[in-house]
Amino acid sequence: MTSKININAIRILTVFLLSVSVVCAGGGGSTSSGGSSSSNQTSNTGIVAATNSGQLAQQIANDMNSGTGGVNVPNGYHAEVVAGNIAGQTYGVNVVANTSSNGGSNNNNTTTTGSSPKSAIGYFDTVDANLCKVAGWAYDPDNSTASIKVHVYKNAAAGQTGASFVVECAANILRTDVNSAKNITGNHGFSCVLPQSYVGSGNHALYIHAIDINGTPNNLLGTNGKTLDCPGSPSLTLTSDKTTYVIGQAVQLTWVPKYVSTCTASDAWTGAKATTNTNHTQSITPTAVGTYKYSLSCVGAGITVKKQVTVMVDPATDVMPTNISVTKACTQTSCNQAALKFTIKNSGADIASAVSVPYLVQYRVNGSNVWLSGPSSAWTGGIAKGAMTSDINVTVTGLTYSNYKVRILINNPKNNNLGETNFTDNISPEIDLSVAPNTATVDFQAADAVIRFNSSTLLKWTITSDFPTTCKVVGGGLNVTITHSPKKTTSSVATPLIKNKQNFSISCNAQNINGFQLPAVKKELNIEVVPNVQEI
Amino acid sequence: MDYNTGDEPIITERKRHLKALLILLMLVIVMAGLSSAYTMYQKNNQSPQPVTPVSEFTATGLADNMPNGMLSGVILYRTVTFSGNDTTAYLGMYTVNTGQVNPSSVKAVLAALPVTATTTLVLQNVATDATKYQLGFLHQNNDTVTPLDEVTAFGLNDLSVSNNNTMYAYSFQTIEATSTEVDSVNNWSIAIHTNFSGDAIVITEAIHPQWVDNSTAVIFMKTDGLYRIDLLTNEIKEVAGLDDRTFTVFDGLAVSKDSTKVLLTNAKGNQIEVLSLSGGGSVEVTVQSIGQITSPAVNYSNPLFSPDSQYYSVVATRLSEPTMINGLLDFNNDSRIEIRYVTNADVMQSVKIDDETKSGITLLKWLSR
Repeated sequence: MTSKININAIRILTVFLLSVSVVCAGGGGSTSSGGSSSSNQTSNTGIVAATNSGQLAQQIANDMNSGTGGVNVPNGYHAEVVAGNIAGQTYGVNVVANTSSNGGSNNNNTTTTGSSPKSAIGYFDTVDANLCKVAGWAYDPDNSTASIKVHVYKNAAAGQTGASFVVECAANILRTDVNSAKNITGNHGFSCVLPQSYVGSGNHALYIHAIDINGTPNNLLGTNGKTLDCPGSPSLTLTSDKTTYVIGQAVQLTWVPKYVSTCTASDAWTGAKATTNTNHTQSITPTAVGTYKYSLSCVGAGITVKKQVTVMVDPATDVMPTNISVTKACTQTSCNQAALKFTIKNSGADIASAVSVPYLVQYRVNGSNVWLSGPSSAWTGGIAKGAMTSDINVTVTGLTYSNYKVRILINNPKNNNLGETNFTDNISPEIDLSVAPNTATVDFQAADAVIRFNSSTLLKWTITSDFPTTCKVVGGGLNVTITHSPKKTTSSVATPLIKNKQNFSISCNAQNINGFQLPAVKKELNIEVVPNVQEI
Repeated sequence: MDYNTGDEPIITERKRHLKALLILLMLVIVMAGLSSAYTMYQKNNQSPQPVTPVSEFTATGLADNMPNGMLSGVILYRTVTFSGNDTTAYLGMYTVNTGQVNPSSVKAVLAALPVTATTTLVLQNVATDATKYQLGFLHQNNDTVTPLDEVTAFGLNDLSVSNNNTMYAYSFQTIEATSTEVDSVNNWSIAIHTNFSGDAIVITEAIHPQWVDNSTAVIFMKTDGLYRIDLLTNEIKEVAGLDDRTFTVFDGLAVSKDSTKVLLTNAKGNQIEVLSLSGGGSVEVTVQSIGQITSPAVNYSNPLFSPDSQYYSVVATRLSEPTMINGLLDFNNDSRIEIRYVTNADVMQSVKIDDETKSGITLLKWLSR
């Protein structure tokens, strides 16, 4: 710290002794007093200065005698002596004008008062929360051209309870308004950015001290106690859980704001949104197919951060089954299967042949709400938008004799690629399927339609039925009971001797199978008789 | 017969001569190479020697004796005519190497900046009262436009694409200027779109966004100085070194592609400033004195650096008092595009935009091709 002593208007023409009491670097005023000391006289001509500090006295004396310490002015002698090691101390300085006659001992009684150092002054103008900085001006009237430093404290002024040092800044920015008002030159404005640790750390009351060029006092600038809450740089993320949805599915938006004061939604959603620094979610279910933009603008620290997500909502009927037909299919042993045939139509985008179109067949008994899964597979025929493709045949097995509802579910290929396998995209209308038992059929024949008098023939029958049943062959004294086991019974019986035209029949009883009424079945035949030759 | 003494290989007298000849030959080759390299070095490292400065408004086309190939690229520019609230824009291309100017005779969009080989960022005014602007991608292969953004504003300027062609930015006038605040930067905001998907940062009371540091940050102008926003953290810091300045909409700003120089112009003054920009955003001001031209004064605007940061272009206009119409500077039609050396501000080219009906010129981009 360099301190400076001003000795003004040393009147050497009439004054032989000047005693100046100087308060160095401490301000607080100055006094002048009498008394003398000539202990440091070094010459019998010129000026001798003395203080209670031998070093300073010697310096002043040397300066004055050599002429470097001052200049002659019309009414006296002006000298400025720089002393670098006397800050904070009080010295008495005797300046003695030596002449050849008085030998330097003539302490005439005119005294003057040296000017006292002044305290640095300034003003704490503004705080800028967005840039986390404080601004103002400060300078030291003791050297108004020099730039000084300022110290920023929080909680209280320096030296008071709770005060905590924040940062030191240079007041070295040109403030023409200050220079003009104070009639000074130099750069005296300051713009102090607080350390990064103050960003997002809450509200702080700030106190700024001008650092006096002489070391003390470091005056508190007015107006102090301004509060500053540095909000930090705002940030925002906004995401959706998927980018493509099927109509009916909810879009879940998640946003994380930080250091913002307001958030406002726009485009496909609106309104004020939460601003706290945590995850926020909102589910929105689009009501129509299309492209949806969800924008969110959050404001903090003077800037607006806008994020936007765009999602696609696809129709649920990209691949639609159409022209569905169901037929009962029989095997050798049963008829409780169904052959399902459907045609698909593409109302979405073109589907390449390599793309699989998964499907699933479901059925339920009439009156039941439980859908049972039938066969599932995938079709890879390729289909252009709007085109119909060839039939797809599916056989459903495991059915019982009942009335059913049948449907086919098709997964959209693009959703399938996204990993969606719930087959909810396209569901066909429900088709009636009746898996009813077949009525029994009987084939009844005689080995000979005409026989000779008093002879016999063979009756043959074949009963076809999915169910066990009892049939009877009667006529001409014949009464044969047949127990049928599914599915076909073939047998025969010889008739008794027949002398006249005779009627035979086979009949099977009516049945109720799983509620299905199967009618009785009856077949008849006649056998003609011709006379023997001997009788003619 | 020579004998191997142990340390030296055995060589014959003839071989010694041959060896000496080879060494001599190698020395000649090395010397020639050094000479050539030095010549190349001098050629490559010589400071651009300014030609005799062209006095503004006295020369057209190339300056005399301008070294061929020193300047290259194409400057996209726009001229406008004002008729009431209607702004009619015409795009033009200025081929720097030849000094040839190709104005468009077709009413065009307000700006068109190439983004990829087949797409161009275009700006259109979509409202008759110049209060709504639309940004979009023009796909050259099928002449379709994909809308990007629609901005309601009283003016939209400074459209630029980031150096990596993934972001764009612009200034837009959000507050209709009153008669007392017509010059205020506070009427404007800047938008920095950090992708082409709608994400953006909007900074109020700011103008002239300039991409810096490989497009990881943007420097912009506010009333009280230049500021830099880090696009990774959104942190804004004031660029040191210009604390005593007060800027208005008549101040122009450009930052060189290498982010080492800042160019300031003032459309109401005749001073161009080239500033050094160092890491961290501090600015060292180097005011270039380019002389004062009076009767009438020459005003500079639309600063634009060349892609190699060695030159810059400005619009020089001879008019006493430029004004703002629809967010655009309206000078008069006595305007030129000047290209100057960064090092000493000497004029390399001065080209008059030969269309007397136009009211002002806006330099959009200096393409390196």
